[in-house]
Amino acid sequence: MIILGTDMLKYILKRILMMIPVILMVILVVFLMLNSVSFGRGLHIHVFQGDLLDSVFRFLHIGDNWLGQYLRYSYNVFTKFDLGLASETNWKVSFEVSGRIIYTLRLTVYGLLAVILIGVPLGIVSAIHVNKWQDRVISVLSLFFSSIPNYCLATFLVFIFSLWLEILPPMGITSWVSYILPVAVISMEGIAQTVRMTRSIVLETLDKQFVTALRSKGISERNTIYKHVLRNSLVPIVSLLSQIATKVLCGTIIVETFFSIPGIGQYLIAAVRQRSYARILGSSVMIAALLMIIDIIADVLYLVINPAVRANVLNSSGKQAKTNA
Amino acid sequence: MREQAVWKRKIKQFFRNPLTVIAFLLFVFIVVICLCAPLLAQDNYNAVNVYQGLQPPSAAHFFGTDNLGRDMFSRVLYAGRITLGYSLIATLIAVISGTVLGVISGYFGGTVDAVIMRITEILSAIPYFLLVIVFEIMLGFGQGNFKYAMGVAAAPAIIHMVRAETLSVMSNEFIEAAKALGFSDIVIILRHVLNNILNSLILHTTSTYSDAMLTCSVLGYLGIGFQPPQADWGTLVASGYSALRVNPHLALIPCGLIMICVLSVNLIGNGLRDTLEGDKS
Repeated sequence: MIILGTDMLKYILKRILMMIPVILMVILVVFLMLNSVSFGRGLHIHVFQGDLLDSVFRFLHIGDNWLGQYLRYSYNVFTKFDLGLASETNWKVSFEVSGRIIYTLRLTVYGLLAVILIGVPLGIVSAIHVNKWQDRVISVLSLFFSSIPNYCLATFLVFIFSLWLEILPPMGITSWVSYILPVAVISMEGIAQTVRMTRSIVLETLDKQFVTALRSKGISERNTIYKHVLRNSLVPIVSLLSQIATKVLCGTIIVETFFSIPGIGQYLIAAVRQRSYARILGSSVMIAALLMIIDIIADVLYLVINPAVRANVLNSSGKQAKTNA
Repeated sequence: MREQAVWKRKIKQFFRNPLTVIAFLLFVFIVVICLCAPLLAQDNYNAVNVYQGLQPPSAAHFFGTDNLGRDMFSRVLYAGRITLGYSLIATLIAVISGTVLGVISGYFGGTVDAVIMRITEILSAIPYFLLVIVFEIMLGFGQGNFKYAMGVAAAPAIIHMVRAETLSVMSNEFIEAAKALGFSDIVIILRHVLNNILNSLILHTTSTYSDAMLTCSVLGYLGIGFQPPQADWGTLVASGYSALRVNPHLALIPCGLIMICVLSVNLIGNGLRDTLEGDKS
């Protein structure tokens, strides 16, 4: 396949390499902010005295200058995937996080699928029937659902489906049924946004001259829309994907906490509640890295479906590739 | 004279859409009720009376009582003051600092621009919600510091917007003319640049405000915003959630209020957009 040729691999590699400075920046910001308050570190080792305290401090590098700590931490992150030591359990944060990634990823992927499978068709329906009752209903509903905070929607849904109808579990992950409510909550805002964006994109395409030309040639409305308008709208819709994925992934932080799903978001919130320095730093870095990876996947997908941009990006130098992507 | 006529027409146009009017009235109603909390509250919002816990709504307690017997109606009113007020403060911080930095960055360019843009780029590499949490940790928990955190975290988006708008205004000839006439930079910025970016600034303010309300209540819900016994609507939802089966209204009323507020602010924003942008074309 030409799509996944060497050029594409080079591009992906370049994007992955470009992640490194951004992650360094993220670590720096979070590190400096957390460093300005000194909770957590040393809090649990006050029982030690004298020489023992000194050696513990030396072992944990407490009291070193912050730049040294930052450089050592970043070095460990990139060479050993070591996100530090959680002082509560004495376990590595990377170890504690590793089992949780799968839940967050699953939620994100299911949420994204729901957004694409529900949001895009509804937006298309809305655009085709512009200013008719279908469009009105969909527009009002999408405005309504984009204004509901995640946890409010979750409270309402749990009240209706778990307590009143008693058909879905209110918390925890046991089987696929448990994913229904979290995914519904997580994707609702994304669906509402996608509907509105898809609607405006399809409307824009319908306004173009080639559609008028097709219509005047006598091609049926169905063929015009399904064969020509949709294909031309697909490209801008996919370019929105990374934006929506970011929203969904950030939504997991709240939804995981609400539904007691053992993912990274829940870990982060628990760490914030416990003021656990290493855990906050580690999970922030993990979430930022996940976001960047999703961003890369979305951009690669965009290149795969859009030959014009692909030729442009893959054949140009690195600097141009960045601005185009 | 003519200026006044333009504003009159704009206001008239704004109130022509029934949905916007309803949203506006609802929001004003909720704000007024929350502001009058000391007059309307039936009871001290922090008065614990365990013997009267989890009562259903009645004449003595409009919204019933929570698990510690505190009057829910007063709690909702006082919580509303916090949610609405703190979001407003956060929005003002974000909009004012974002506008100042954005205009400076777009107007002067050069090194200042580069420095401001690098910093905003670094900040926007971190997701908004994560940034709020980290800022809040830095400023300290439980003293309502998250209003500053929300403001600072929302600023980069506004800086970007204002800078882009400023740059597009700067390409106009009247800026060049003003410079040629020898007006000082401050006069040009205040009279010409700000005037021309005002429309998009107003729209961004409403969306920032509704975002801030969401974030404020989410932080309260997660227990990392306000610490008890103070409460905002999110905290009330969280504490009412445990009694969802017995007294569902404890969680559902604050939920509904947040939804109504965010929805009406969004609708007001939509109405403003129609008014302001309809004027342009």
